[in-house]
Amino acid sequence: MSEVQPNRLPVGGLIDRAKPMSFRFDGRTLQGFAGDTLASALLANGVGLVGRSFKYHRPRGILTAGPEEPNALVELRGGARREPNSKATTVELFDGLEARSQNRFPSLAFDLLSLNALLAPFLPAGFYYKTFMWPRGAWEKLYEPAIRRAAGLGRASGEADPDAYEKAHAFCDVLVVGGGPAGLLAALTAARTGARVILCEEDFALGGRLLGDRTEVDGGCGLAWARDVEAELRSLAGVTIMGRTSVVMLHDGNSFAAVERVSDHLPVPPPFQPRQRLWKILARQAVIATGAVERPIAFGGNDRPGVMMASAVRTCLNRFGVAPGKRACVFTANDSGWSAAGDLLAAGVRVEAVIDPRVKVDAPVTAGARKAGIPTFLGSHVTGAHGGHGVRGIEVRKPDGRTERIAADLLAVSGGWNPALGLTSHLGARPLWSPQIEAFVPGKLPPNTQVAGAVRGVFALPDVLADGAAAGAAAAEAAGFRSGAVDVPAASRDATSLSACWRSPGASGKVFVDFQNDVTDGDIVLAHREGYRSVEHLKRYTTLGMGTDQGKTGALLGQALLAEAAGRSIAEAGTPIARPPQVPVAIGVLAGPHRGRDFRPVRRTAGHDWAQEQGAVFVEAGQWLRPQYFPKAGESDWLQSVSREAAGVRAGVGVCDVSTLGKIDIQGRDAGRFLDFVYVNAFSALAVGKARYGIMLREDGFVLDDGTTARLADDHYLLTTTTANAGRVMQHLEFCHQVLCPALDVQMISVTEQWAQYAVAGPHARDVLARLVDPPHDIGDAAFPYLSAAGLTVCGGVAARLFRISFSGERAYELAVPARYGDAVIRAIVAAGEPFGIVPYGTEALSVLRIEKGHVAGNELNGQTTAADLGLGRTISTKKDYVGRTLARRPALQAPGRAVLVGIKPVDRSQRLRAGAHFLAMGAPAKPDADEGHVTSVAYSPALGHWIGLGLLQRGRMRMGERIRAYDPVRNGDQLVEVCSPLFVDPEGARLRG
Amino acid sequence: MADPVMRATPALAGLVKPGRFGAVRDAPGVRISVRDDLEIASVAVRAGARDAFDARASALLSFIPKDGPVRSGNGNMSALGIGPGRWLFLRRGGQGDFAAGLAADLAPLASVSDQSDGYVSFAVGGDCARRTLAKGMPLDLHPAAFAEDDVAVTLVTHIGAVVWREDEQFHIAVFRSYVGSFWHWLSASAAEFGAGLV
Repeated sequence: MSEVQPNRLPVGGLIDRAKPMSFRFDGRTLQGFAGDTLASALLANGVGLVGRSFKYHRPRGILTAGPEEPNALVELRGGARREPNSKATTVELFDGLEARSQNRFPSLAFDLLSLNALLAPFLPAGFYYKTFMWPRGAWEKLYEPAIRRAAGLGRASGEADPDAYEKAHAFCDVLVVGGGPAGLLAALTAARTGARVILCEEDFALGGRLLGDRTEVDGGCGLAWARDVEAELRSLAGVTIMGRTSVVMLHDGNSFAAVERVSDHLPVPPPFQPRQRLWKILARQAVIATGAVERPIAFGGNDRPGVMMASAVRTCLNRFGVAPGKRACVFTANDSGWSAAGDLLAAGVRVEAVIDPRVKVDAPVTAGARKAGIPTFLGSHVTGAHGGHGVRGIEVRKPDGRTERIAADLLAVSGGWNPALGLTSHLGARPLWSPQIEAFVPGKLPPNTQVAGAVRGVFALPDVLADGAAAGAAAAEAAGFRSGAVDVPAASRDATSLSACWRSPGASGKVFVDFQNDVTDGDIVLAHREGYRSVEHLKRYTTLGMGTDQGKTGALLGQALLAEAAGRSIAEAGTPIARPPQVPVAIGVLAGPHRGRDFRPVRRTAGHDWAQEQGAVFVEAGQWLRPQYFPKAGESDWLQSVSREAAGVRAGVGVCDVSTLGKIDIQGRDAGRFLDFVYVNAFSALAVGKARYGIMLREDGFVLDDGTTARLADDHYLLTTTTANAGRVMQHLEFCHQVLCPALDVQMISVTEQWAQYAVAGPHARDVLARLVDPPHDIGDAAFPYLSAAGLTVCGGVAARLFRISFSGERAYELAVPARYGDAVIRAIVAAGEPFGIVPYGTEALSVLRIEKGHVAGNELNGQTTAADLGLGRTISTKKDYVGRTLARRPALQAPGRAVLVGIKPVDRSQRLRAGAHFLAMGAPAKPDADEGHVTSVAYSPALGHWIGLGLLQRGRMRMGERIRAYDPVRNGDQLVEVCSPLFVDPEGARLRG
Repeated sequence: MADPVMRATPALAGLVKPGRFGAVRDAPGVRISVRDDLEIASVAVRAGARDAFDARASALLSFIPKDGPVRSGNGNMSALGIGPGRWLFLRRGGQGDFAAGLAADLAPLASVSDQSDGYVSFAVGGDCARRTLAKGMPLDLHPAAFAEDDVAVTLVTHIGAVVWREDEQFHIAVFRSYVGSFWHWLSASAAEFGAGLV
């Protein structure tokens, strides 16, 4: 294999050499092993150039070995699964993986857009605010599209995502974020107390730094210890280990969001498995052990392929068995970089030099390098890395100012360690500067949270382990568990002395601080010169710390340079607060299963299947699906169907599913008094077996809802609401009872779902129902006049309720049966109505019928109308108190000039009306000042043979017969209409009573 | 004339068929049954009548419904606490006269409404029941947090639900109109574990 993978070491690593995997990069077929990441497999194959940078199209390689990677962004997969901006360092290799470089044309090696680099003088920080200002109009049409084309990263597929996503909830006593040494021991310590523990690790393997270094724990290999801990954790019933899971957000109430990449490591998700799962984890206590991220140093060409973080080099060697170079140099400002030199030597890589800006480094740290005869340069800096598509040599500036060139194809860099403290800032806590570790550490911790290990600046392995154990014990105890003696294994003590090095003095060439956004040291200085003194402003002006890596490697470098330019300390300059998410999150997983038809639940009535069989067109009414109309063969448009249905009701009989209306059982000794209180009209005097129309106001005096309420027994009413307001009215009634009149003996419960209800309307309505109602129930007009209500049985013993109420203005009944009979009963109604030509009608015809009768509905109950506005003033009782009474008497609500309900018809009867048009007096200008109201509802009236409408018109009742304009600037409408009574059909109500 | 004998339509008619679905396993990880044997009634105690109600319940129903979000009962009949002085009463294998009978027994000490057609109940059991329900239920269903006979009025995948634990299974009652959406979610969520509907 090593011929195929030139940089693969002959032995070692945590890869499975027995499982070779084939993958493609930019069309080239390459080999890797199970356990590789895409990045490690590319490096094994000697592929160092993997992308082009955002702005200057600089050649870029692989900088890190984790989610902090700024450079190695690739496009994965193809077709609808194409996935841009994936970090090669976090992509788990699978057989058949397809990856492409992005942001290059025509090819990665020869990228014409790298000419941008020549334009660099014109592309400084904030260039789009300056360079492309003139001519003004060109920005939108020319400059912005051109810049967007040239810059940016990958492209989304533009197709629907073929995979499924899930959401799930998890609960635990202790959540441990991070499966490195601190997290592992925290989890184990907490789990041993009996606490329910969830351990989340972003990587596909537990171990954290132990995966990439060669430290010893408990007298053996650190990784073996980690494996033992993992095995014990897996054996404990209360422990859940969630691998491939990034904890991305911390919210109030100890609520964490985590993304589990269930199938990202597979070509396609297995059957019944989602691609990713979004977890909401509620933890009583949390231990954040997210470790630290190594930061680069600013020097010329520090972005070239071949310049890598020292820890990433170690991970390549030790975890993946890959030597990312043949001749290496190490540039480190702290002890940990020297370990990289040791690991390189151990792997047989030639180490050309170790450069450390510190004048004095402890002898044990340098001993290995000196023993191996490696040239060491103390008090020195790397000022430049040279080469084209990869490093060929470096320039070292020695303490005496002289420079030396060293040939090398790999430069391992360590500028220090930044604690990965993102989660600790999500509730707004500002990080604190730690002079000991020259980096920011967590400030005030979120409630019920511990931090352990490198994330709080503890770096030496024995200390990390002790810290993890203590945090685990503290968390378990805080969650109510007793921990015994805490067992901390011994570990080799790694040297962790450091001194910050931000920028090499005398650096030449382009010096990058934020690789992903192509922010250079010059941009920082420029931003400062232009007055950007705050780090938050610096971030927004230069884009420092933005993008998919959120500046995890370089942002602090930029902040340090800003502080230096301003002559302030970094502690004074501060650092921006990290906001969630901690790593990029796909929109798909946030939506979860709630997309398309599943965006929200759907409610179906018991008569749904029947309506579907009739070919109904359905409309969404809130969550409900209601038949809108029932087209018949030969009907060319909805209006034709709707007119037929409405006319059929008036001429014969029709049936409509009204199950969706809210139904609330109101019971108790004081049910009548309670209804008097919530309705403007009186209900306590309503006789048993009678129904009445009622209007409910909000506290502020405007109409809330309307509906009929029937009295079924002395202490039992059934209140109905509109479909839209069912939930809101229930809430309102509960509020009124619990807060305003708790002493009343009233019990309420929604029974909407218990009953399927059908309106049978038209001159033959009684004839139809008479065929269904069981004897001896009498529904003749004498026994069962308009506004009667009764419990009876239908169709041979089905318990039912019958109400003689009407929305259509016709003789009408509403028949309610238990929902299980809803399907059978609608079929029975239609069968019984067949001799009378019964017409099923939907919500459109329902609307036509009610507009013809001037009945108000949602368009008129718009939250701005009073009962008087709607012509319902006479229903208001003056003898009692009710909700909304006081505020309904406000002068503005009683003003004579208010817009009130009127009918309108087009002067030219052939014209179609449109709801939403505004009323203007004749001769008035079409200006908001002259607005006198608007058209609320319109319908084509089959009864009248022309369009009619309802509207709210100022002083409307005094203007009957007046001609006004219905002005609709949005749809270029300007019509003459005549104001009339809203009662278009049967104003005396004769049809109602039969 | 209409057919005098009315056919009751199960809420899940046309939506489900009994049998195994999802991933193939030796034994299904999730077992689901539809509790169409249940009659359901909501019961709310009248103001000031609690003592008399308890005495009446004890005498006629041979149990006193417990306060709080718990299930109590007498074997065939049980009461799920859904609010202060409010329960959903359930009866197994009745004759369709449950609510009327309860109303008569408890009058005038409680307000009773028939909900037998308003709710559809599912029982979800098996090794992977909790993992299935975690995909839509924002509740800790671990036995330490949600024990046998515990009750919760909650949301399942944005659908209002009454959930309780009985006979080592999770029981979920949802409003009838939502049953299609609910079943879609439940079956999709259970599929990865291998599921069986009885």
